[in-house]
Order: sequence, then structure tokens, then C-alpha cells
Amino acid sequence: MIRTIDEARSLLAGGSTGRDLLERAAARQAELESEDPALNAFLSTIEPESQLGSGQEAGPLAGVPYAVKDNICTPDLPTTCGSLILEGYRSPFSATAVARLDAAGARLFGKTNCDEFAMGSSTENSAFGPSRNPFDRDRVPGGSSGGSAAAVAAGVVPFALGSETGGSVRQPASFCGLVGLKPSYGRVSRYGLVAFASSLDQIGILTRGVRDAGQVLEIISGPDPRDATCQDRPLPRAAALDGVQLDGQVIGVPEEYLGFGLDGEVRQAFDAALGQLEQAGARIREVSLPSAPSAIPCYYVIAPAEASSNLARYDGVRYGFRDGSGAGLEDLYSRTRAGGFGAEVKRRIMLGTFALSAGYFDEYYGRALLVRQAIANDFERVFDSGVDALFTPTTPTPAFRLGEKIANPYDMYLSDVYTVSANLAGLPAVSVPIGNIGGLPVGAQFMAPRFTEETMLGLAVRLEELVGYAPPDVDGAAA
Amino acid sequence: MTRIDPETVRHVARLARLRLDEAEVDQLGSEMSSILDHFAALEEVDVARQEGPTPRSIDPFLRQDVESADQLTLPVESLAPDVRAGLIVVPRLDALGGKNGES
Repeated sequence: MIRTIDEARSLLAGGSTGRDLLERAAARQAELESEDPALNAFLSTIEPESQLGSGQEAGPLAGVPYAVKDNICTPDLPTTCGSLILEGYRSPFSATAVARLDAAGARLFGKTNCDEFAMGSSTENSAFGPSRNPFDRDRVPGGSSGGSAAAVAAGVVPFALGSETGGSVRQPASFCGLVGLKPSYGRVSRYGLVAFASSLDQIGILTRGVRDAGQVLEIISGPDPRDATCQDRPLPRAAALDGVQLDGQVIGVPEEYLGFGLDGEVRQAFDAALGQLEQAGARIREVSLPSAPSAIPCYYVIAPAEASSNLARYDGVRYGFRDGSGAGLEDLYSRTRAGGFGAEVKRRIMLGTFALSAGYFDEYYGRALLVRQAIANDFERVFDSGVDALFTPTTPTPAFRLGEKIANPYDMYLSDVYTVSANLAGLPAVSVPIGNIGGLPVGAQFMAPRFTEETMLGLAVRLEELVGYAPPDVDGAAA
Repeated sequence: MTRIDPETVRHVARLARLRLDEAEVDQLGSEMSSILDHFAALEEVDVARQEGPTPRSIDPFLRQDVESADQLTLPVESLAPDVRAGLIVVPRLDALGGKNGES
């Protein structure tokens, strides 16, 4: 196992090479896959023996292995997005975030399973079978970055990249006892992140501890000429996190976030964590975000609308799967898309196309844009009133069982009820584990003003220290 | 209650270039109707006060537009394996009547 970046560094300092650490990751991965049922966290991995030499280990993450969600482009391994339509597709270029990690000396170990095109909250929508929760194999790891979460929680790699459109890093982090960081929109380049909903998508980070997430964020952040939405702001410095004190910080708790089917034990764990923050000097203030109850419908209009446009490119002409059994070009398109996309992707393409179609545009898409603005204004009003960060549960329940929600799409959508607002408003947010319920982890999240990751992660470090979270035993093979 | 009838499903599927069988038409019609019912919550937000500038938290989405050199400023010879008289040489297509691989 390699649990943290520091653990990897200790091994390297003790004489291990970067290739040794890749071999260690491969051995752990093989062990997990040999169990029944398998974790199914990875869709592809590199062969450590194929890596040249023991490597010169230079850079801030020299020799540290990592994993990348399979909707982020890497030339060394396929990029399938968990979809049959891209089976076998290999990108000719690296995503900017991956290129920056490589330049920092980190070494890609593998590509992780995810819901198809990141559409889902459980990985059950992957065309290559679901990943499982390392702490209970009958349960989901969350999604859509569930493979990344399972890989880090099971100790294959110390960190993994995921992506967030509506909570796809924070929700699996909460289900797997990890830290899940969603940076501000515009903090990390989206170049090479396969587009789902471009105004919401952002690459995120899964780690065991907040400081590790801070180190990775500092490396992958910053402007990129290839992404016009990526901003030139001072980089969030990992070294600054220890300077953030709780004393005097105003933490807002939105009343609306303590409803929506919040499990009683999750509420207790959340209240206990909130009490610890207060005891340590934070000033707790009840606040209201009145538009919050409309966040899920707003998200599920805007994200499918953008997806219906972004996924128009998968038509059998340029990429992957092609069904040429019909006659003519339109038939090629519609048969390829029918055979290549899974049920949830089709459902969202249909919903999005409907919301953008003549006669319904104003009622759904136009309205949702106004509601999005109302949601963002709510946050702005609260932060302008002197609140430094908001604190809420990350998910209403711990990890649910495989198959429990898959038959009812809207039930599944409600898994994201606490997370989508930060995406709609472009805010940074981080989920931190706060306890275990019946052997399953649960998390709570901070949300903060845009581009204030340093303060937000500093608060998360303090919370982490106060809670002193210890994960449950990993199911199956000994950890 | 919103009802998406089969004809609407087929129309949207044509727009989305998705071939659906009749079972999928029925299922998607029923699922979309049920999901759209939940979207009624969008009506509950008072959006009248949202007129005016975009809120600071989601604006600006775009970085400053700064002019920079790109590949198109490079000489065309550096972009292609074979250039003659300022034109990029490509293989001739069989369908156009020439020999394969020669211009």
C-alpha cells in the first residue's frame, strides 16, 4: 500500500525507485482484482516493467505514482470515458493537468473507472461494470469518480485526479473516507478533460489528507493558453495552509442543507464536527440560501443541455465505435450513437435536447440560467455578509447499495443534492471525512468564495486535525 | 403533470441523432415525464430580482483575451511533410481518378 505522498517519499528516500513504487501499486491492484468481487477501480494500467530505467527522480512529486479518471486524456493509456463509444480510443495528447503532474515528476499508474462520460453518482453507468466500495463490496464507491476514490481508499496510489460537474469528486470522497477537492471554476485547465458540461466541469483531486490535496492543487493550477476559462490568479500555496487559524473565522451553516432527506446519523456526525469547529474558536452562524431547493432541477437542465451539444461529436465518423450497418450518413450517426451510448447518457442527451428545443427553451433552459444566477447570488450575499466559508454535510447518506437507486434516475440525481450548487456558482469546495456510520465513512464539506482555496483548505486541515478520522478496515484482503 | 408523448420522444431523438426502438420510446417518455415533474421547482425561485449584471461569483468565466503567436504564424513548410509551390501535397483519392499516393 501507498497511502500518502509522504509515505511515497519515505520509500523513495529509503532507496526505492519510481519504478519500484509503480510495481508496488501494480501488486496492490492485482491483489484487489483477484478478490471476489473485484474492486474494478481501474480500466487500464501501465506495465511497470515497460517504464524506462529506474528513472531520474526530479521535481516536487518525483517518483510518486498516481491515477487519473478515464475521462482525462493521456497518450500512454486509452481514454474511454467509461463508454463503449470510445473503447480503445487513445488521445494523441496529455491533458494540461496530467502534463503538469508529469513535469513535477509524478508517474501515471493507471486510468480509473467512472460513470459513462461522468454521468452518474455510483459508477454503475460505466460500460465496463461498476467499481465497488473498498469498505463494503456490496456498496457503491460513489461517482462519477468512483474508480479514483476506490483506488486511493484501497491504497493503490496516494492520489488520483477525478472530475466534477455536480459533485463527482466530493461525493465519492465522502463514501470512501477521503478528501475530495473541487477547485474554483477556472482554477485548473480543462484542456484534455473530455467535455460533459463545459460551464460546470472542473478537474478535482482525491487524497487521504488535505495537505496532499493542497500539494497536488498547487502543481496543476494556473493559466493555460489552451483553456480560455482558466484564470491567471495567484497559485494556492500548499505551504500556506498551516497558517490558517480557526480562531475568529466565520463559518456559515445554511439551514436548507440540513433537510433533503438527511440521514439522522449523518446529521449527528455533522453536528459533532461543527461543535468541534466552534470549540476551537470558529464563529458559527446560521445562514439561508433560499434558492438551494431548486439546485437539482437547475443542474439537471443545464448539464444535460450542454452535454447534448458536447456529445454530438460522437457519431462514428471521428472516434471509436461505428455501426455502419445502415444506409446513409444519418443512419450511421443514429445507429452508432444508439449502440455506443448507455442508458443514462441517452437519457441526458434526450433531456438536454428537449430542454433546448423550440417551444421548450424558455421554459426550461432559459429559466434554469436565471435560477443558476439566483443560486450564485445567494452565495455572494452570504459571503458579502462576512461569512468566510460554508459548512454542510457532503451527502445525505453514507454509500448506498449497488442497484439501490439505478432503477429510479431522479433518486440517483438526489445523491448530489448538497454538491451541485458549488458547481453552479463556480465555487471551490472540499469534502473531509468526519466519521464512520455502521462501518461506512461520511464526509462534510466547506464551500468558499471563488479563488479562496488557500483559506478553505486551511480550514479543512484544522477540521481534519480536530476530527482525527481513522478509516474503517478495508474489506477483503488485509490492508 | 408533464406528459411527453411518443411523438415528442421520436422528434427529440431525431434532433439528437439517436435511433430508438419502440420500447425505448415508451420508457424514455415515461422517465422524462417523471423527471420534468420535478423541474417544476424551477418556478418557485423568484428570478425577477436576477435582472442586471452577472454575479461576481460566476463572472468572469473567460480569461482576458490576449493576442499571442499561434501555429498559423509558422511557415507552412514546417507544418507538412511535403510542400510544393506553397501548397501542401496530399495523397490523391482513388475516387477522384488518380493513382494512390501520388499527386
